[in-house]
Amino acid sequence: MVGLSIPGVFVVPILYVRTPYNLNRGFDVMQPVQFDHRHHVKDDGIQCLYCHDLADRSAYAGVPATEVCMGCHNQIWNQSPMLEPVRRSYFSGQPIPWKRVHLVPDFVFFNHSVHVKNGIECVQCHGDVASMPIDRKERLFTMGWCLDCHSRQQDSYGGGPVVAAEFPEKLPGGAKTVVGHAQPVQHLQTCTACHR
Amino acid sequence: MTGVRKSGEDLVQIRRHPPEGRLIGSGPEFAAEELEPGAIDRRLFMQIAGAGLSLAGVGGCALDTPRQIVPYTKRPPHVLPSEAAFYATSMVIDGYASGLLVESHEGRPTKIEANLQHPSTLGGTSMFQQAAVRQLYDDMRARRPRRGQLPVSWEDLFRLLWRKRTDAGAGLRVLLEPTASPLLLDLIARVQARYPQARVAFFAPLEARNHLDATRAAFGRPLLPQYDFTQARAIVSLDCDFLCSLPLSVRYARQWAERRRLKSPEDGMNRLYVVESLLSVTGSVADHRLRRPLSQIPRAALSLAAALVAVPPAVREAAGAAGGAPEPWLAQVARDLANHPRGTTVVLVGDRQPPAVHALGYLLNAALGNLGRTVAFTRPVLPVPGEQPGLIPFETLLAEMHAGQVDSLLMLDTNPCYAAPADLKFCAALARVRESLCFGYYEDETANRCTVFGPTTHFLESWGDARAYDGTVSMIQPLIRPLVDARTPGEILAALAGEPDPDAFRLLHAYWLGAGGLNEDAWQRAVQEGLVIGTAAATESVTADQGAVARLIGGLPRPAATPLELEIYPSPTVYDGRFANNAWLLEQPEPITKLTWDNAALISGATARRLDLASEQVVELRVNGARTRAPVLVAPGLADGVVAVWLGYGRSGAEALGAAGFNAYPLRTTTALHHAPLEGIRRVDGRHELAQTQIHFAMEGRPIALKRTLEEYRQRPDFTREYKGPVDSLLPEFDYRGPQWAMSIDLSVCTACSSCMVACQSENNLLIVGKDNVLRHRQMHWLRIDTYTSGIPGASGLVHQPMLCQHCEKAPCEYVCPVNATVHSPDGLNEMIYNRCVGTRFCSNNCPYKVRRFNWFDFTGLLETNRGLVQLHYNPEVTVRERGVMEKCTYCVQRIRAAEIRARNDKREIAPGEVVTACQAACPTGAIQFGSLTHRETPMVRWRQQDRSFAVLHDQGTQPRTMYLARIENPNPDMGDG
Repeated sequence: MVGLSIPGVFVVPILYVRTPYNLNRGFDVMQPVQFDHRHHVKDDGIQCLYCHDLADRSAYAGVPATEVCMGCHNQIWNQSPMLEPVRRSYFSGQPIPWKRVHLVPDFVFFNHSVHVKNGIECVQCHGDVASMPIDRKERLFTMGWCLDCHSRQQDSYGGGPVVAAEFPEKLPGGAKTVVGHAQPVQHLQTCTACHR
Repeated sequence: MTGVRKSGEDLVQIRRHPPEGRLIGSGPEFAAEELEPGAIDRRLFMQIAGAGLSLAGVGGCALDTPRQIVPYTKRPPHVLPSEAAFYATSMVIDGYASGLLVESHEGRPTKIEANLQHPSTLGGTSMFQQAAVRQLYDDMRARRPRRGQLPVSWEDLFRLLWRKRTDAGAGLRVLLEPTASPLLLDLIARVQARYPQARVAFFAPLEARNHLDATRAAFGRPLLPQYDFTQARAIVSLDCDFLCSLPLSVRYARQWAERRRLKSPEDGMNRLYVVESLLSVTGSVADHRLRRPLSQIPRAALSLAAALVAVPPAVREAAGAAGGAPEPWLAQVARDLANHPRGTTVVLVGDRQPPAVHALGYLLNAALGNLGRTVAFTRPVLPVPGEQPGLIPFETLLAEMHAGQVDSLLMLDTNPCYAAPADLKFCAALARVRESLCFGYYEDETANRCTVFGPTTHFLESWGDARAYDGTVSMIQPLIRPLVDARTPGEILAALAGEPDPDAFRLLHAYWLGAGGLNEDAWQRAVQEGLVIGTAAATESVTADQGAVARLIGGLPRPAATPLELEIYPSPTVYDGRFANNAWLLEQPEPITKLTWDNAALISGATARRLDLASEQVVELRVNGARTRAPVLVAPGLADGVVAVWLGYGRSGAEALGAAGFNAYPLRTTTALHHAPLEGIRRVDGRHELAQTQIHFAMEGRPIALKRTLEEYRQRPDFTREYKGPVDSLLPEFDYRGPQWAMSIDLSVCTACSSCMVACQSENNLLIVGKDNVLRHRQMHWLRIDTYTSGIPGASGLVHQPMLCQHCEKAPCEYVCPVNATVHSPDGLNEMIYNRCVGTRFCSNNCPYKVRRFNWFDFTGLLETNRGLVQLHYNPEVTVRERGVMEKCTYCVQRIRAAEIRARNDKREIAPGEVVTACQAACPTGAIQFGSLTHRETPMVRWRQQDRSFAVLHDQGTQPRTMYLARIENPNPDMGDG
């Protein structure tokens, strides 16, 4: 009994922290405004990039500014009590404190635009948000998960023609040929691709 | 063998160092004792850690609580989160503007680059410009206005200024830094319209004035010399640090460098002669350097004039009569000048020299046909007392104050209590002024003695304008709202002129659309570009009055023979004291002595022996009845019989960091601004530790920084052959793919100006470690400049070598890391991964270049100077490192990856020259080139294909990606060193 409990002191917490419950995976994250992605995407046919307009030109996808909500909701449902926090934010200038669903640690420099512009669909990482009445985390953004994709995809994304070029000089190391400038995704597994 | 001789005795004895050169200061780098204030010992640590381990599981029980995302309510236009924006603005020092391009991340200015459209630069910035952003985020800057000790509002202060005086301004005086700002001059005129008897004075401790008297004598009117080094093949500098200390030095340095960057042995290069006392940046890269005390340099100028055949006989005779005795060194210089075609030489005279020497310098240039070619004259950019109505000299103001004629004194961004010459007794005069209003960035020495104080803005928070040294109108636009309750000098002057509710933008806009004569489009363009194109001052045609110059040099006093001379210089790092609270600049090694966090009484090795003094001993200096205590530092290349001190340290105002060192201003008087006979030097008890980052200047026979004379290079162009090329390696071949990043550095044009070091600090969030840790060699600079000497105590022949991570292809650090925290990337980078590092320091131990830096402490927590406002400065693209991890130069990998992402998003390849590292962008001479080896047409690749390229410590088999070009010097074959 004692022999089991001593390792148990370590093993149980180690296993616990990995449970979906602890990691918030698959659990609804309640937001200050009950925003329904399913309704906006499926019923109204609004594209992801309409609200998350930075996703294809910035590192951040961007949670939309209150003025984006108010762009429509000053006309429709402008008396709805559910939208009261949105109107309050717009007129007071106090932002809405949304709860974060997906977290990338501070030591990871992730860039949305390069993924979105090179053919990665939003759903591949964020799950089928279009079917979620309330947002939840579908995937855990672990390093292994990132690398898994980068190593599996070979050259199917971006990349372009791979140009063989010779070094302009005889490098001391005797390296003879290198591949041209366009790096296949596969090679973006180098540490500084994300950690700088 | 190596091309560089071992250091001479004088230079090696700069410090009495223990046999193991690295172990100096108050303790070794790896000292076990007293690691940190309040640190715990290893045993206690293990006990706590053991207890903590059993609780570790509990910590994991907390739910992964969602954090918040707080978006904008209305996103400002032009702000694209994560993408930097750049805005043009200008920085003003002593009245002259330089053009900058400032990087802003979501409204926070983080990094300063050069505005390439501006005449102040041809690429590159100065150290002070790079460090300006640190000044903005200074926690010790003044926060709020006060009257006496009571806090007041700006409305109260403005009400005080609006209230119309009844004396027509007879008792009102305004004192400010010299300015050529069209807006400020217009506001001053409005103040004078309101108060006709009010007067204005300018004060800057290091204001250059001697050229005005000289041009008045030589040409009949005050003029400003403008230099052009593009055609200069022989340059003679008489105490003029033109590569680092002039308002246009960044521009001059590039022009000078373009004529020294050999592409092949057949190329010609310029030749630089320097006569000076304290080894300056310019002197350190001279081909020939003559050591002379400042008081003897006029005589050297006379000797040069007397020996130069082209000089009119009347002047030559006058020069000879005034003491220009024949000297072989100067005669050779004169011969070399005469041998060059007319108009391809230039003679420069530094501002520490009296007007007669300046006038003589102009005459020499005229005689050599340089006027209109390498030297031109324009009207002075700054207003001159006597020409500008209402402008009185500073000395006149002081006389009025002492006589009790000044009732109210308004001071703007100036600190005369600290920096005015001692004999003017500014503080005593200030006490006689009833109402003293001081407006400044810090609550400094002057602010403490004034009845009213108000904080002024940083230039990154201001609207304003200024003129560059060539007269170009430069715009100042803010990148951020004032972080404190501060106002611009323009607003304060406007309030004094009676303007209700002054606003800096409205004032500037109204001025330029009205009196300034711009239309709205031109105004928008001026702000966007940071300057008004085509506003440079016109060149004046001049004829030198030989008789006047001859009379002037006849009046030069014969220097009395003094056993010791005190010489006073601006600090190369904190200037006149205005940057004394800038931690980056305080920790910045001075380019020659590598001293940080202090100033010192510098003496030469021979003088130290004569006086039986050694570095770190404390002496008392006595001059004109003033005494001050200073630590001794034996400095290379200094003239014998000289004690040199730097201004700018020993601050006693609110800037606590600036209290480092001693205050040299009390030694300075109006009659002896730059040098004076030293009345006494006496050793006193005690020892003052000096934190130098380099104490050993010899290469000990190893091929580290190679150099050759031009002649040697021509005889054997492939002298570096054995220091590059393939070497056998046991390590496996690496699979390189994609662009291949590499760097080439030309030692021929590196002047050690250290702009790159501060740029690196700014770009890569390097933390300050403080003097105690510099003494233990724990400084964090990813890029340092090593200086090696050829051993001649005189002088020239130093090699400055920027040393940073060499990104070795066979990196010794990589295979000793037990956790793979430092690895190679397919594009040739040696990567350092902080979150993997466990801090064994094996990598640093195995690095032959010693470029890795270890975070001995949580420096953010340890030192207040790394906390507070300065955390707003951090580059968001770079991790701020924590305690216990190793760090080093990354080749600015964040810029590489940003360029890759840009290129991939645009479906193209990275363009040649698209990635520019912070050091490369900052280098005034363009000595650093970065890029991909696959871009063959870039200078970076062409340089490393040259004969004189080499790899440092090639014999170690590290195969570094950073390659250097050996320094080539161009000594006059007919002469030795002085």
